[in-house]
Amino acid sequence: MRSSQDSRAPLSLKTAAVCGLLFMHLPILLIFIYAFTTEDKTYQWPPPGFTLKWLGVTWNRPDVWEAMRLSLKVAAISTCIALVLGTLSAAAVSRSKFFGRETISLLIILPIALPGIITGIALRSAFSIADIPFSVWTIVLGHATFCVVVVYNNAVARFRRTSTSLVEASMDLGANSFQTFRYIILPNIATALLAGGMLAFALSFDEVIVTTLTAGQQATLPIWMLEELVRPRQRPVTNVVAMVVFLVTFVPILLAYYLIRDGDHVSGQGK
Amino acid sequence: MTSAVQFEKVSKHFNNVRAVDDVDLTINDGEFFAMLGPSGSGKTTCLRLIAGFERPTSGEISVLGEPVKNVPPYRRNVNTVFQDYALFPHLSVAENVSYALKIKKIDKTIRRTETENLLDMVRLQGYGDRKPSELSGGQRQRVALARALISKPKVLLLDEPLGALDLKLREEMQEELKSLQRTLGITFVFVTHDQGEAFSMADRLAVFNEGRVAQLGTPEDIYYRPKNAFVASFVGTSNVLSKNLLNSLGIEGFAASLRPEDINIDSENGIAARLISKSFLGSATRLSLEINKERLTALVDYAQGQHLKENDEVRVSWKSSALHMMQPAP
Amino acid sequence: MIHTHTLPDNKGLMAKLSDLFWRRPWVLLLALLLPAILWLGIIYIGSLVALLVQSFFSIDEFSGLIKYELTLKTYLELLRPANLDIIVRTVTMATSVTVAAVVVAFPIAFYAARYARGRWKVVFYVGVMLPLWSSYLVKVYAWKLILAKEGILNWILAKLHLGWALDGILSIPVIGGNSLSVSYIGTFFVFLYVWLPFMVLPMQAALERVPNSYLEASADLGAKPSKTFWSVVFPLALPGIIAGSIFTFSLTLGDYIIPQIVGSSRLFIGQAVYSHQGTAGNIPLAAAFTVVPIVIMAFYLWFAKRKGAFDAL
Repeated sequence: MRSSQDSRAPLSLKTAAVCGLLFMHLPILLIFIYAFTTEDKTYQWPPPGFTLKWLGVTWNRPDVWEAMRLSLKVAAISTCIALVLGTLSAAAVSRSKFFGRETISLLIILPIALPGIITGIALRSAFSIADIPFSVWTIVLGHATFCVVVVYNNAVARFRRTSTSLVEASMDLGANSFQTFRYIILPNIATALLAGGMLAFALSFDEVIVTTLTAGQQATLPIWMLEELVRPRQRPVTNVVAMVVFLVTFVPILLAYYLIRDGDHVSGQGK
Repeated sequence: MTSAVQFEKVSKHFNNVRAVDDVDLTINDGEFFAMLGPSGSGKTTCLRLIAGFERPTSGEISVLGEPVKNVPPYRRNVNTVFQDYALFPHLSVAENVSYALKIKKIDKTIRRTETENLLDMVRLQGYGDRKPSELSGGQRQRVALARALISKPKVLLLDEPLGALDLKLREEMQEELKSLQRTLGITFVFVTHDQGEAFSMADRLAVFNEGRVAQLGTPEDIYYRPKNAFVASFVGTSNVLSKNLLNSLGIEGFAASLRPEDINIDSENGIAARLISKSFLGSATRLSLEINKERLTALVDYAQGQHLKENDEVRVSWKSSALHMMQPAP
Repeated sequence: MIHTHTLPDNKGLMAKLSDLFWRRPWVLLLALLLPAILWLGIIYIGSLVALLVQSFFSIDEFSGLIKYELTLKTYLELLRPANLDIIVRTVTMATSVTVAAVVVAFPIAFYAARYARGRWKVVFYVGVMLPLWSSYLVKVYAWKLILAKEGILNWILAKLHLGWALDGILSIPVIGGNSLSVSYIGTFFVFLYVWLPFMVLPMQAALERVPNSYLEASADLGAKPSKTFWSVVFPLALPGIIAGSIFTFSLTLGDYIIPQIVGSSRLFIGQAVYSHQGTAGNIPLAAAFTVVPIVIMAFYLWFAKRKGAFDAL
């Protein structure tokens, strides 16, 4: 056991750690302040005044709504595909040892291990070779590819903690594979899948690198933002959109964290 | 009498490891059967073959006279109590116990009464609403037992079911399992590495070694008449007399077993031995002897061993019927 | 025993399939893996391979059309000074960002792994996880706000009467510039900020695996804290550091948004790829450019694997 004296960190370490955390969070805080500034031409600090006006202006912008709708649609479809692909491959990889198992894991991790631009360019050139016109589905194709790994990682971790004998016990008690999946496997991995799905949704919702290459003329919310960043038109609206994008991804991430944590808690009790 | 389980030349290979190697075995209907052996001896694989979690590489297994080659676990009249109990963590105790009935779409009221009956039987009345994580090890084990018995299997498989319990609880459960088996009258097949457990509960047992059955018989057979050196040394502290020693005593044979309690002090006609050490065990005294450079253990009455000192010469003898000739290991 | 229950029958599609899965486990395995193999193995890997093949084509200088003949001409073009500059610039940036990320992340990871208890542990964990997952573009945008001429950083420096220090730094050739938002220093800070959480988490995971007894043993043997750090803590944290650096390095190598929004007009690999495939329509050169990060990362991953970094992922 460490003495209580020992377990206190040196002040310098503590300061450095807290400063590091602040470095990671203060810039995001700034987004929230700018969303309410009265200044509309520059990024002036401190803001000359605060107003709620831009929330209303943004609310009435059809192009923002259009982009928002596309982003939500793409994120929802990609998440569903990632859930199916990720769960099935996680089940295969964690339940049995087979030739090529390492290859499958590598295949799933590759889309995030390689820089996003490579995935994007590869898909874009494949679309042009195969003469596929850009559509919602070309965006989904790219997003689902890198979302699979998020679901897969969560599912594999949960499968590893779930005892294999549960499946055998269920079969022993008269349940076939499908009944076992429905009554035993699914309830035990549900929170992990939900968490993986949430993270996949957040990842897809704000992805921009692959999307610019697979979207054609369509604009998701991040692409709309990127255009505003490169050629600003109405800065306050961009500020509000930035805040909204942050919040839309923030909520599922936080939920995912609590889901994973609770899952750990429950399975820890069983031991 | 029909057989509950029959193995005919059954082998199971994992890659190149022969986990079960050409086993022939018959388990009678209604008996309490134990599979005893060290870890990796193939006993658990045999159990999993009966349950259907593994399929034999070759050979034929029959359950209640029916070949089960193409029968998956969920259509075998066999249920299992798992080593780690494998209780479903997301279901309550009652839901765990009634799982098999729910799968068979049995009417809810029947399900409830049968679950109550089973929980009564394993003395867990009133625990139905708890989660498995809220139970002690012994209670979980009872739930696993009730869950496996609810579909009234003809054969119950138990995989080291007492391994996780402490000594006192283990002894209690041994008694309980035995009386349960007598009441239900069904076949229990029980896997263990603990010979005491196997002897106190089983009607018959098979001793496994390296994927094969080293000996099949009643506990008495195996304890007093081990067929080979593996069984003799695995089952208790039997002395194994080597060929050399036997020959030096003028006996023909490959090897023989001799139980420590069968060796007596006999200062008139005995064979000369040297006392290496002795330890006091209460009513008896354990002597460690050396004859012809080979060690033997003897268990003698306190009175007999009282005056002996280390390095003394001792003369010992045994009845010729106590010496059991053995075959080479299988 | 009042009544016996019937065993489930083998009628119906589900039951038949289930029986098949039991008799032939590889059928189940194949069924589970097939969707992922079709999607990732065929669509994704297929696209990657098609892209790589195109890097062996070349572009006709007069017509601007792609000549479908295998050649190494495009790769030779990578070696032209302008293109070589882009590669060196990107790799230098990725290296400096990675080193800086190690330095900034270490105290956070070390404190979180060894000292934070109870509520603070949660604060640190969530405090690193949220920025990791939250919107990339919003984070970049926040830095555009910070680094703007009329923005918060200049305001703070002016209040502290430190404007001269910033001017001094900006006057350094190469890394300086007219203002932070158009200089390499600005680009560097945004990269560091955006990828920092990717370094903290694996590092923290590695440090959490160092038993306290190691540190105590070292202290008991009379080692000075600095010695304990360099001879015990650092080597044990190394797999985590390498795992984190895979992210910071790879992500910097391929990024083309950050240098476009904050930085000088000189190109990075990502931007070069983007512009060659887009307006220039020179897919072969774009493809050859993507091979650079792939090769660098392949070497990096091979090295990381040898150091056991994958256990820390």
